[in-house]
Amino acid sequence: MIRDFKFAFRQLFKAPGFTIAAATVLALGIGVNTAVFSLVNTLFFAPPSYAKPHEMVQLFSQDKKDPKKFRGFSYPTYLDIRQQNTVFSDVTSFNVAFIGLGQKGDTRRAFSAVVTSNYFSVLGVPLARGRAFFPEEETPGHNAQVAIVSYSYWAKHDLDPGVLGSHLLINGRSFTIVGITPKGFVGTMKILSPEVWLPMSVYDQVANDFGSDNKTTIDDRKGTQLRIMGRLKPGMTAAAAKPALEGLAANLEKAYPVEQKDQTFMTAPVSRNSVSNNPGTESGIKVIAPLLLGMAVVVLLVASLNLANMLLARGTARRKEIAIRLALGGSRWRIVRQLLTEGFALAVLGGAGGLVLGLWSSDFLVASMRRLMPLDIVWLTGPNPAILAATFGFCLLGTLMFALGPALKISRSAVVTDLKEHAGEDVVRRHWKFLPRHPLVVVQIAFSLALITAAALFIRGAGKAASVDTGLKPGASYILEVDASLAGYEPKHAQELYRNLNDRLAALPGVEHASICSIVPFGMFESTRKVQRAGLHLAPDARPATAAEGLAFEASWNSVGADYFATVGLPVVRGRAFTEAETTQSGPKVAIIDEALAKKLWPDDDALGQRIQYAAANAPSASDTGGAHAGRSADLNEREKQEETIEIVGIVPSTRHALFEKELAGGIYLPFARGFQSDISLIVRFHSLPPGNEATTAGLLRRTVRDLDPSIPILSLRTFAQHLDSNLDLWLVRAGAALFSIFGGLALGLAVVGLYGVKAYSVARRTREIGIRMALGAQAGAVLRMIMREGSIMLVSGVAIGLLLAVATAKIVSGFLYGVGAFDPVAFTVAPAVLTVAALIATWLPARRATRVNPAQALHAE
Amino acid sequence: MIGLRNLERSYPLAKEKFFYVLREINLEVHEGDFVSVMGPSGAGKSTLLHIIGMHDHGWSGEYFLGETPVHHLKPKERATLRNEQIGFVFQQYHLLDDLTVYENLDIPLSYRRYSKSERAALVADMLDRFQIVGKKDLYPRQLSGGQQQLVGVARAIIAEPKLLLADEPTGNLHSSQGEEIMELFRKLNDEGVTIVQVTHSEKNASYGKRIIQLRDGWIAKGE
Ligand SMILES: Nc1ncnc2c1ncn2[C@@H]1O[C@H](COP(=O)(O)OP(=O)(O)OP(=O)(O)O)[C@@H](O)[C@H]1O
Ligand SMILES: [Mg+2]
Repeated sequence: MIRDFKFAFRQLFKAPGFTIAAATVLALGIGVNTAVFSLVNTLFFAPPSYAKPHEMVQLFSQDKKDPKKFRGFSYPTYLDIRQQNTVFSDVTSFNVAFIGLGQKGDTRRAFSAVVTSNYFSVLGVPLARGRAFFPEEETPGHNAQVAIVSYSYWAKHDLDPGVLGSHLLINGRSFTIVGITPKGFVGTMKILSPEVWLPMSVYDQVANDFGSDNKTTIDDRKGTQLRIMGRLKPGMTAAAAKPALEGLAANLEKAYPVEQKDQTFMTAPVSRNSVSNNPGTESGIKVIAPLLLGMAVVVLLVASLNLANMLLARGTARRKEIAIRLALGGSRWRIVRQLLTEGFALAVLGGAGGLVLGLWSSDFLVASMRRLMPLDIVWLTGPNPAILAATFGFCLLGTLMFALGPALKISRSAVVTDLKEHAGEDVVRRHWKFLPRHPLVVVQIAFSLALITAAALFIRGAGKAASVDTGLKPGASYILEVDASLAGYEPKHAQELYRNLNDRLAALPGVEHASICSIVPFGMFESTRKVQRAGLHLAPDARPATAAEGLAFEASWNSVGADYFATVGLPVVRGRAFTEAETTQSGPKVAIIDEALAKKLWPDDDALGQRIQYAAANAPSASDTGGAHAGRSADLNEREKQEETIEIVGIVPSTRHALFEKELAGGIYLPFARGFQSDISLIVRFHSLPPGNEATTAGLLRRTVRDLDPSIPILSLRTFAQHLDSNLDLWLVRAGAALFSIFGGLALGLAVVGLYGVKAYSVARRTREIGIRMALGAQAGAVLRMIMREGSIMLVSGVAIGLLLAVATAKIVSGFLYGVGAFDPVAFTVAPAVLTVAALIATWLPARRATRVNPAQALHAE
Repeated sequence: MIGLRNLERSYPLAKEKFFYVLREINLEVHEGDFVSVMGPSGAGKSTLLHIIGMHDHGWSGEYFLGETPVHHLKPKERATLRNEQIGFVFQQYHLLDDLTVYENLDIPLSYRRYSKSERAALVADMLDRFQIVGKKDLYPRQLSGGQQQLVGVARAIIAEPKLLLADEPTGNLHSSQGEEIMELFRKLNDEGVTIVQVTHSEKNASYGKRIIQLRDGWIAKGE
């Protein structure tokens, strides 16, 4: 076997041109797979960064009456579960929070986890430096100002040993760093890692302040802030733990009939991609993993077919060697083994290149995502055993795909004829002459057409998405995001500050309007509420079918300043905008809704002047709303007081709320004072923003904030256009377009190179035939036509099969497309056209060379 | 029929130096003539034949085919002229391996202005005349050497050329098979086809009307 390998490498070394070409083709095919695998693996399959993950489960609090409804736990409940359960060796509790991290005036937003003191021990993660939290640092009221930072935080400070024990400002308060997590630890999710871990006792200081009503403190049993994870006792399974947990829940319900009403406990695997209190939130995103892997494997397939062709061509040239080996008594199996070894040696060369290429491109993708998010994306670059094993697997798979067929075919050749015949073109007696000569090329063309069509669909989608009509006309606006609570402001003072800031911004030279809003359109967060007509008292089991009967509708929610609609360019079509007084003080309960919601609530009536109310979270509602993002909405629903009724004082045109919602969901706007939130955005609309003045304008806005209070962190400042451009949905669509363009481009390139190779090779091999034909009267045009016709047969059959594959692919990816149908005529025209043109050029070049054959010399060479 | 004046063919050797394969060739071949070109290996016989057959254009001098000055024609015009007038028989037969006998015969017709039915008729004629009707669906490798060259000759004359060029047509054949081909040539010549053949064999040359000796690119004996 080792001799085989030596010989194989010697053979490859003897034909460096072939080897380089083949290894490059393979590196592309394998590289794509390695890149996709490393992403998919990290996201879905790699073991989490804590010990014995199979023992860990997440605990959920489920409503017995409405099993689809889940909620979080309160800290006292966590303590009870920890003490009373019989199935876990221990449980730990946590929640995540966005915090303002850094010095005065230089604050950035960071992702943190607030955890119980046993968090690291239950996860089985020893800290890299320092210590875990002490139990007393968890106790509510203790306010332990200590923090544990991530390895990447430490790395940002050059791994300075002095980081341990140093101080760090969180939301304007000083914390002592007591520990550093080990490299690669990302908490319970993948990739998205907290940068700071804080003890439970500071929960109320740092917890995000979602609406001011009804807020519970951490020691309040009514709270639902926390997630719980448990490590099952050795030998215990989730199924076996079920009755014990249900028993525990029943006991707690007995002990706390109000707080624990209808709650039972269930377990599910720990989620890798969200910190949800609902176990069913990550199924959708998983669909894309096999899709990506599938597409990548198709690229490898096309690369392999390409290589198989090269090997077949080389095999024809090596017929004599093989015939001699067979004649000298070599068994066919020996020869197949030799050829496979050569193939594998090639694959290893290509795989090494692919590994580098793949790791590099997945790093690149992650880097582009990192720019969009204020989160610490922990992405360990470099190969790990799983990626190495996968790359090796792709090498083996590739070898089988490209080397086995040719090896079998070449070794089957009959000894006698091959020794006798001149090593001319591969003469196959073809009984089916109308079939294309090179089926492998046809298959390559077909697959690449499918991929290019998918790419075209995604590119069309990205184009449409980038130019989507949001419904807003913000003109030349800046968005300024601040959070006064991060500088230690209480809501009352924050509100005062915001009003001042709003006024000052509006008074700046060149500013047309300025307005506060709690939810910036198309930002990271979205908030939704269920609303219904006011004054209805439904029986608990009522099933209303219409708005008049009390059907509730989920609507996008925002709280805004008096000038908001003028600022974002929405005319108030009926009624009025909010008054200054309404938006700055809690006055009468008024709301402005958009036309979509008005139409839903009062299909036949005028909504203006009517009253609405928030519906209970579990109220029956129309299910046709756009997808609500996970985020704050879940917590918001439960806090609203149902008995409040709200008067509709104005109606504005509908806008999109999520960038890609399929149907306008409807929106409700409240005066800011009635929907206070500490993390707010100010939209500042200028008469015009002459290009080149960005730095000056941004500086002016920053100075305005600093003049008011230098400690207020500016979380982001950018133009509305920049803001839209960095939308996560848009990024996803663009990333999809980019990925598929890469897949499609690679496949197209490989297929065209393959076609060119086959044609060039066959022209070279057929010099004699072409010479004879020319000697017998064929003119240049006739030779050109002959070669082009043969190429076209391959092309046409490839395109025909490819269109079928493209239709299937389009069906599969249609769920990820934005704004284009699966059978978009443009994509289905452009993709085959691009392929055809490229393929015709690839055929024409060798065909033209064929016309230059000099018959005298071609025949002389014999 | 053929008039060559001062025809020369050379290949560049090193810089500025040339290797002359043919030197100051002056030759007249009249219509109905049957010329045998002889000479040692490497003398330039094949080269001369390929020039006359207009497979090679890298020569200098004057070449008249009938009244037409070939040296003034563009490649395309040469090809047209060749297709009208010349047929070529190769030493190695040069049949196309993955085409049947029938299809091989059809090649020259496919490059000329013949209708489908004319083509079928001419091929059938030729199969008949050479008594290879039974072999029309066989592939070249299924034929003996003599049979292959028979097909080669048939293919060379199927488009009814006035001039038949043959480069050692019997070189790879047994003497009896060679005689058969030579008899065929004589018959064709009797029918008015002008023939120029390259041969090493005195016996084959004796079928012709005259002999031209070529040595190191020079015409040594003859006219
Ligand atoms: N493409 C070429 N480049 C350089 N020299 C060439 C080329 N083609 C032919 N020659 C040379 O021209 C000379 C004449 O070749 P040609 O084939 O005409 O000889 P010949 O008389 O037919 O020989 P033979 O009897 O062996 O067939 C030879 O010396 C050959 O090496
Ligand atoms: Mg010769």
